[in-house]
Amino acid sequence: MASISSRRLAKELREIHAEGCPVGIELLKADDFATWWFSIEVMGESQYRDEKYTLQFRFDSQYPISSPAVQFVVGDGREAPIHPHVYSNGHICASILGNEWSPVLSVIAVCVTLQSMLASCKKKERPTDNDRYVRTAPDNPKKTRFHYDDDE
Amino acid sequence: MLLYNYVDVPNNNLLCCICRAPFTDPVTTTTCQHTFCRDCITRALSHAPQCPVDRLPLCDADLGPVNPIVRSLVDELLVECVYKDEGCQAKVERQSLAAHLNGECDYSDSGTLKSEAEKRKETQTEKGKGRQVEEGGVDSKDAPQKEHGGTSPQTPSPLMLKKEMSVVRTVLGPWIQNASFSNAPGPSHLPTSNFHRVSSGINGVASTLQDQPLPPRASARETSLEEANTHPDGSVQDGADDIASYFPTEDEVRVRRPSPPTQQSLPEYTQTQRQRTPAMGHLHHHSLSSLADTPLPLGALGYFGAAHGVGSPVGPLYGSNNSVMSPPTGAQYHLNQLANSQPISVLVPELDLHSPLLATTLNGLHSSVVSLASTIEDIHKKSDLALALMGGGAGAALPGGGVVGEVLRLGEEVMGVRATVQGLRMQMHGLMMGNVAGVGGINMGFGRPQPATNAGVAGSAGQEGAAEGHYPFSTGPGLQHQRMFHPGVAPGITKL
Repeated sequence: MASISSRRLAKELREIHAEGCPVGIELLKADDFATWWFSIEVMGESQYRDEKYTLQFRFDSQYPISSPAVQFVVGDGREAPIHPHVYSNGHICASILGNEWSPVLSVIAVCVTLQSMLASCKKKERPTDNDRYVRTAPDNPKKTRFHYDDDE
Repeated sequence: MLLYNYVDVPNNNLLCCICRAPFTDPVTTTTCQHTFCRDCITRALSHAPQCPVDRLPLCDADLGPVNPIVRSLVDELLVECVYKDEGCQAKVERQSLAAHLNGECDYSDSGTLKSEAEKRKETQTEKGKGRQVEEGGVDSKDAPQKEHGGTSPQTPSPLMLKKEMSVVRTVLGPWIQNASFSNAPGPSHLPTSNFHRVSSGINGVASTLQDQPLPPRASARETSLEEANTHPDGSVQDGADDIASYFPTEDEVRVRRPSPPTQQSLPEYTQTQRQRTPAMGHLHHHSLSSLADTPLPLGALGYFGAAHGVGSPVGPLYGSNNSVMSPPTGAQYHLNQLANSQPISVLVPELDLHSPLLATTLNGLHSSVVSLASTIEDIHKKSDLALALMGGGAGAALPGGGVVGEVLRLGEEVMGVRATVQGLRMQMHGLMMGNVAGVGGINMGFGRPQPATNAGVAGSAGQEGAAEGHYPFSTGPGLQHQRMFHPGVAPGITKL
């Protein structure tokens, strides 16, 4: 029933409007319950100082039971951050977006996690298989079977 | 999950972390003491067998009851009346909302102000629809339903569903038993009367089915539907032999090529002979058409609309699948059917989930199951036939059948081809010999010592191809000379 996702997203949106977003995270667009855009920025000293990136969330009718499809927006002057877990097409290899997703998590929680993922990066580099992946990647990152490295 | 409007912001601890709303029917995990709404955690578990909070392994069996204090806390949360937009300002405890809507709420359909007038109006319109009703029984069932009907106009509230279930049970109560037909009121009158009705011809049947849905008959058909549920093997008890004879055996049930859902299928049904046991397909045929026309057995007049809803999706199903009986000439029919190789289409009507009636949805499901059963039967029969016909080799067009025959025929064709090749070889040989002789001018060649040559030729040509006894060389000596001089001429017709 698609209404559980709508109800839950409506609740989250209300919370965002009422309490605001954490520092460095900003809601850009949330016109429907299908696609939301956020901008994230890494605060403090990091490899990504003064860099702003746009995150896109796509929800299906089973949210929050099923995870949202999250990726960085590329094109129109926007680039994906250079990070060992971020591909140049914007797809993100993060366990909480895959097998470690839980219905307890929320959109804000994902933004915060990705923010800290960027902040804790030691070296700016693309994933080793970036070119190969980008050539054959599906449109929806949820279709990719990522293998999660246990580094950091 | 029902949507309440809470008056105050509820305590965070009372919110389900999955739906972010106060718990509805909460459960607590016995393994890690986390609480969720029953619906929410059930759905989450179907996706991943772990606790959403700490990812510990979790399964349905680990869900236990919540602390009663938690339950009281959420049940006593104040919510606004659902008819707030219409003007009701009441704020009641969540657990009391249903009672409020049934009783004191002035704005709900079953509230005190509107209720009397509405009830009176509605029962009148239902009577006016021309259904012949056991009014006493129906009215008494009507009244309680009216009250509960107002709670949720769109979605069935649990109360309404319970009412429906109890209504269905009371109406069908006498028949939902393993008792024989004789126990049920009135069915003993049925056999002859029903049979006559069916045999009265197309128009007669159509009219009788639609015009006079007398409760005993309808309920008896319903009975047979119920009987089918309790005796899936089709066996019937003593007192019901007459009823049993009314329905065809499973042999008779066929799924023909889809025909338009007209009433023309009915007269074919009349060819049924009497000594049969009930077959699911035809039970469906009759009981559902009656159900569509006579919602009365369901006992509640308020369900007219939904009953019609059942009738329409079932219609095409009925028409294309279960309507047709096979003629007594069984074998021929099968061949025809197989030869035509018509695809069997099983129309499954859409599940009418919008109707708030459990009973009608169940009926729809039952009819689908019944049609599937008859389709499967038919497929079994077809495959049996195919096996049976295999030995005969009758008709290479039989799909899967006559394989052996096909093989034999192919064998014969191969032999024929071999013989042709044989003959051609002979011809070529003859031509070559003729050429040689013609060039050399010598009366040499294959033709001369005829028997010997024949034998020689035959011998050289090989031993097989014995089917061809006729070689062009077995002509008289005179012709041999001719052949000599006309080396280019083919030595006669190769007989095959």
